[in-house]
Amino acid sequence: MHIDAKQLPNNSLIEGDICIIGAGAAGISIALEWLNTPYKVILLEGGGFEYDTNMQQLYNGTKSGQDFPSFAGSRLHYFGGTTGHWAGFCSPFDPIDFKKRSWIPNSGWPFSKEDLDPFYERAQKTIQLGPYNYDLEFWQKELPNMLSLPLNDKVIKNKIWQYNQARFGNMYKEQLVNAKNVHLYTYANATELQTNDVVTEVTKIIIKNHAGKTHSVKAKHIILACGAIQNTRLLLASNSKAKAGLGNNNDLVGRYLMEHIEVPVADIEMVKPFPTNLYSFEFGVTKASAELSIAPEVQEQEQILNGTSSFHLNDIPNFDSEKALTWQGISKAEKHLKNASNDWHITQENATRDNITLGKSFQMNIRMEQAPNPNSRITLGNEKDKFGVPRTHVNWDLTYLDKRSIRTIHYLIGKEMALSGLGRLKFKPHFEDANDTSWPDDTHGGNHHMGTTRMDSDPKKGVVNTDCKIHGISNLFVAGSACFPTAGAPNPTLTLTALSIKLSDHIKKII
Amino acid sequence: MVAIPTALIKYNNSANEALELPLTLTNIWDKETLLKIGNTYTETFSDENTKNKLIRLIKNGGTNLELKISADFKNNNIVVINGWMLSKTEARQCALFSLTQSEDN
Repeated sequence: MHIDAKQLPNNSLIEGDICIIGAGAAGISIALEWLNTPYKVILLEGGGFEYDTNMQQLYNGTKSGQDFPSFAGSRLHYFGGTTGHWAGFCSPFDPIDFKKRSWIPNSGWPFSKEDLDPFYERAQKTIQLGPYNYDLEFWQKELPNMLSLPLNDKVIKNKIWQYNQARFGNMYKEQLVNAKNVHLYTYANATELQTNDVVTEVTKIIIKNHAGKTHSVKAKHIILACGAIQNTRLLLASNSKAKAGLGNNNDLVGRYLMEHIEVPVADIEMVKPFPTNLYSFEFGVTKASAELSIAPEVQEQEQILNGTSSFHLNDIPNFDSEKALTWQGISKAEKHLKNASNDWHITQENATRDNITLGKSFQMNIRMEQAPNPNSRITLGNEKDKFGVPRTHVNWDLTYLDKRSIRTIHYLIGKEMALSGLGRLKFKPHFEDANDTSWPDDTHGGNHHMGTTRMDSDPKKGVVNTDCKIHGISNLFVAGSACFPTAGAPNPTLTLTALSIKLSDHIKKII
Repeated sequence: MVAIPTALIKYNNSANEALELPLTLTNIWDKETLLKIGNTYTETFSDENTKNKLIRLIKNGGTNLELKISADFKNNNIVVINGWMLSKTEARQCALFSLTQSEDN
């Protein structure tokens, strides 16, 4: 059922069994789990079904520290959320991501990868990906030309991604609008969570829209699913009874903001071309591919964070760019890739006869977890938005461990590429010197906002418990990547969807 | 960058000519890059900026350069010159090449 909250009489009261605030990947994933149940599910979406500049401007904020991606550019404020423009990269976290790592303060999840596997499998279906199988060997049988670089696999691993640019808004609108027990309210921006006097229970959610309407929502269980930044903002701004905001008795809400650090780090010059599709990505076409990662034993030995490096073909001067080949290939080049000989000279001679050049020069880009850092944080700014909610201020703070880890990952890749006779690595300027702590201007985040209501069973160390419930508040939960204690190497959507399904199962047990 | 045909590199008529040609690197670099790397190496390691010293160092422990370069990488005997991660041996080869080429010029 769909209701446009702008059309409701002012000061309407909406009641249900559970209320999900936010209809992005996390919120929609949870709503789907409640279809055809005897419970009334309120699903609140601040925007409508299409992009709206007025809605996007509600996301604007201020920033300090390391340059942070655009607030309004990195997120979408309409039904489907940021899945409306994401690139669809999916991969589960590694087992090491869940472990307490002695060299990374504040690392460790309260459960293991194995505990989350059943939920990952269900999340695969929600995102409409392939089978829950991220083994290299499986994909080498499934897809052609997935040759792995012959690197020492005790040091360098191939981490597999699957892709689906799943637009949740398109995929699930009809199902949710037609669902009898799910009441989707558009133009229902949550602006405040009100509680009882002792701040142990949320009693009401205030929602507003640009039509000037204000309504309230009551539910037995409330799930914040607006994304890490907006979840945090709402908790901090709901401070009429708890001055520091909800769930913030220990000054943790908003802290440990993590992004994936993404930056070009090095170039690889190959001694000779290596024809493979394994490391290529083409938007809307590629089903699975790999990036290079470091074996967990080596991560521990080197005391580094977890991350992966991807290959991007460099423009080759003096070559006709129409003929320059990505590893993905065009039809003529694919013929050569398929018929690749073990003797590279023959492969290259054959390709050259067809006026095709196989790529030899690649830029290596990192995507790496950020070390949990309490100084990297979200607070409230001085300005307020149109609904009177203080805007967000982000201080994105990176550490030497982040920088050293990126360099070490590529040092190890460069070393193994040389040992395998494949090529040589050239660091970009900011990574040449191991003691250089500066960051290049093109350092950016992946638009993956994580960690601001981190999970820990101890309320002095976490905002939510292992069931993603806010410590100290009986009926308030957080869904999504805000709960991540660590950021992992890969993009967060698969993991946040799995975690949201886990949360949904928990609420089904207690409702 | 285009791989340089070895015929374009000026050779000394010396028994050490094989030492001054880092073969793997000639597959990915042009002559200018080899020279630049060599010059930077001799500036950085000023105690290794003579031909005789470099020849001694390159030959030290054997003349199978491919094995030596591999051992360098295995044992982290690696230098970063102008951003390039190189084996110490092949960096010395570049240095020797730059000294030899500049002598001839």
